Amino acid sequence: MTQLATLAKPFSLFEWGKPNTKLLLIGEAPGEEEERVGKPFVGASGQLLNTLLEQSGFSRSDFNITNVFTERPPGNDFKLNWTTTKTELKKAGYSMAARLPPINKRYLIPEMEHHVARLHSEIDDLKPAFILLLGSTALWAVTGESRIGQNRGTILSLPNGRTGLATFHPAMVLRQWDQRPLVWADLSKAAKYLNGTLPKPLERLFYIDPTFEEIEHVYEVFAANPQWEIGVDIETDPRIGQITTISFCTPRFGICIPFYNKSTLPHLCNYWHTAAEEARAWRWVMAFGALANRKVGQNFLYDHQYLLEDLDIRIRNLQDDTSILQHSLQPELPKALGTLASLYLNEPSWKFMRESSKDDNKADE
Amino acid sequence: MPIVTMQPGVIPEGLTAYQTYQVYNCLDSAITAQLLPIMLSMANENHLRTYARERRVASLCLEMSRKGFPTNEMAVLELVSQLDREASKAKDALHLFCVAVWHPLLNPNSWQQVEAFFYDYLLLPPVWQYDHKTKQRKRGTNRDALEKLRDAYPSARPFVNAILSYREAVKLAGVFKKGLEPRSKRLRCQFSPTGTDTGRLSSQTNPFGRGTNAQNLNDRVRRVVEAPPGFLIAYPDLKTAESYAVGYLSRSPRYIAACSSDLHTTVARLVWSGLKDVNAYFYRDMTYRDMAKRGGHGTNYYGTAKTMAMFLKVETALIAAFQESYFGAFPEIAEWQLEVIAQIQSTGRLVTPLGRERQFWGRPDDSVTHRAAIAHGPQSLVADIMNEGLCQVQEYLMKECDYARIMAHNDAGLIAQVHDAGAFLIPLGGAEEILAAILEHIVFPVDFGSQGVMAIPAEMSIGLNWGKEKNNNPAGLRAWKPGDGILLGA
Repeated sequence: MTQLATLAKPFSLFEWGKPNTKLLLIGEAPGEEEERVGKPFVGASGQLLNTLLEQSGFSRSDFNITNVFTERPPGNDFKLNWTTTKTELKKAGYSMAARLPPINKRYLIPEMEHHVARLHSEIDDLKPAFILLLGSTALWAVTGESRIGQNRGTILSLPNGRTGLATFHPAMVLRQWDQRPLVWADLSKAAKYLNGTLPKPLERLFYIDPTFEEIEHVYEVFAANPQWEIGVDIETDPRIGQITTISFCTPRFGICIPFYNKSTLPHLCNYWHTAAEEARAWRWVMAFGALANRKVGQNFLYDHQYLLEDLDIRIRNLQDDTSILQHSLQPELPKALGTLASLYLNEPSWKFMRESSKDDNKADE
Repeated sequence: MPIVTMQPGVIPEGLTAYQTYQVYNCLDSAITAQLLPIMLSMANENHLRTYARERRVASLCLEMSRKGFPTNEMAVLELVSQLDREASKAKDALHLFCVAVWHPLLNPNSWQQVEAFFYDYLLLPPVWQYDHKTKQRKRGTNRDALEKLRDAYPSARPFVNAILSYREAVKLAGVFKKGLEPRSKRLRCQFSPTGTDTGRLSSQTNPFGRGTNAQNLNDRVRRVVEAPPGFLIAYPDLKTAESYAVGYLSRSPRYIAACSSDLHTTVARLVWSGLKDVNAYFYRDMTYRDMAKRGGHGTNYYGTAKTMAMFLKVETALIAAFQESYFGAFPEIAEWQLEVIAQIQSTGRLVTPLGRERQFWGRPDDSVTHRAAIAHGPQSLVADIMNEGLCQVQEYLMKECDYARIMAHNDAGLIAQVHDAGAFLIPLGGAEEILAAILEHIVFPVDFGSQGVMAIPAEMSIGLNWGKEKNNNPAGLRAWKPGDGILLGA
């Protein structure tokens, strides 16, 4: 701990938890009150954090607490830490090779990079078993990823085999109070994970890029198990008003029937090589829709309008919709699928896959 | 590589972009299926009751979204050309003002120019708005921001008025220019049961980028919605629905009795005892009856004297005096409001008599949360009553009615829900019988125990188009009651 004590000077703003605790909580930076007292999370956001931790089964002393930055920029303007673009960095003669990844295309100014190095040294010294990341800056400093909205509420695999969970910063909750239940749910999930009561993620098997034989095989498996409830979802390209893919899956098993790759070259965009093949694929979609299995969708009013438009595909026995169910359970909370999964399941975030597939496609072109 | 096995908690790597996209699609449906039993296990009896109702309403929403509004092509063309003229006139006026004070011509579509004009040239103090794309606050140029500038600074008024008129006309014209279905010439808007916290339906542009908020169309636009030959538009609405709900929820027999008569006249007489003429002026051009209507509504929903005075453009002391008299006449309403606030401060959870539960996540001591909670009861109750009523009517129209087949073939029946009213297309032959049946089926009684049963009565209007009947719109909606016969467009 000597090394840590040295690294933390002059504004350590580090708070030890109870002896031998293996939990670490990382915030963004001290506020005015924190800087005055010399301890992290002592102002309004600290009080809210204490309440939320207690409500979700923790106490503050369960954690060692630190921040990404240990000092406030002039005028408390945190934008000053992030005002450097790639061009500006290059102009100033900095190499891009060792730069930390940007947030919203803005790089951390080189003068502040030692804070991140300090944080990593703290993590290496403490060897925490679990890290709670509060806010996008903390998430970014540890993982390089800054999209807190997509990554919050899921158990994260962090560098060096560590695990953690990211959630919104209490200061953000003070500004947007309606986000409080999400933070509470995230902290409760962390507590469940640590006491071993969080269900395990599932192993899954999906057929993608299918042949007609494989489509038929999956159809027969579903038909032979009419008690299985099947999730149905379409992806679309609203620019051309077309369905791009449609999937039929149980929690562990399913298939995606592709139609249109919107990001590739025009002559390659149709997955099926001939009109006859495509028509045959649509007939299979109709057959899946007509299966006796109970079906469930998410915001299926949207999907239904696409399926009925021109194609007139009807989904038989569609009895449930998770967005409507969430609206009945908690009308004020978000109903997006990613949020529902973060609230009720223990699955890694997957919503970034849609964007990354777009990026890759652009690169392919 | 057609099969992807996903290890628990691990997102697969090494796939092509399109394969990643397919796995993403599979995960969406797999996780939806995985969520359902977990979420159902968390639902209590109230949640399940609400869920069952919302699923029924979802099918109504799909029907309305698919059918759309039949329009008169000539009327649409005329409206679009009128809107284009208005946009052009507003833009000319704006340019005229700009030439007078600012050398360049201001483009009302350019937020950069609008921002520069108001904040850098006129030097008005900024109204901030949050930009979701950049996740930063910026100087506001949207409608809300400009309205705030207009109300606060007289120098901004002519510019804001011209910009907003231009934007509104262009937006509305755009809805009709690219918003109609190419084949049917219907205006299709999407309805959704999950867009509000109260259970009221919401409406917006549909997934194909067509249509608009169907619940917010003004009379001029409604006029172009015209019944096809052989049909008429029936428009039943629940009479003073939310007031009835306030009366029953607050257990106020006097208020319930007032709802059964002319509510606002009765309220005016109760608040200002000895008042002879309710249409006499209370303040400037506002009559006692107007004040009872607007002030009563705001007071029912916990409006403060100061805020209401600002909206009604009346002195605060007058509103304070009105509220004192109002609560003197209906003390149960004040008590009910305090009960709701106490409930929010203790559990944060409200349950309506129809079993709709809502957990309030706002700050329990914040007046914004209190107002939302007080409004929730009546609004949610009326939304559920309306939706149940519409389901009953639609069931009758599409199954029991003799004309069910004709309506199904012509995309008739329910075409829109507008808060506490619904719009139907019904065949002229048999209209009298169908209209009477709609009035009967749309009433959904709610049992209030010892207070009795609340059955909000419905009123009907009919017409060949959806606008109001006026001298220049003789085919518009006019009041109808059983026995009136069907004589339209005269």
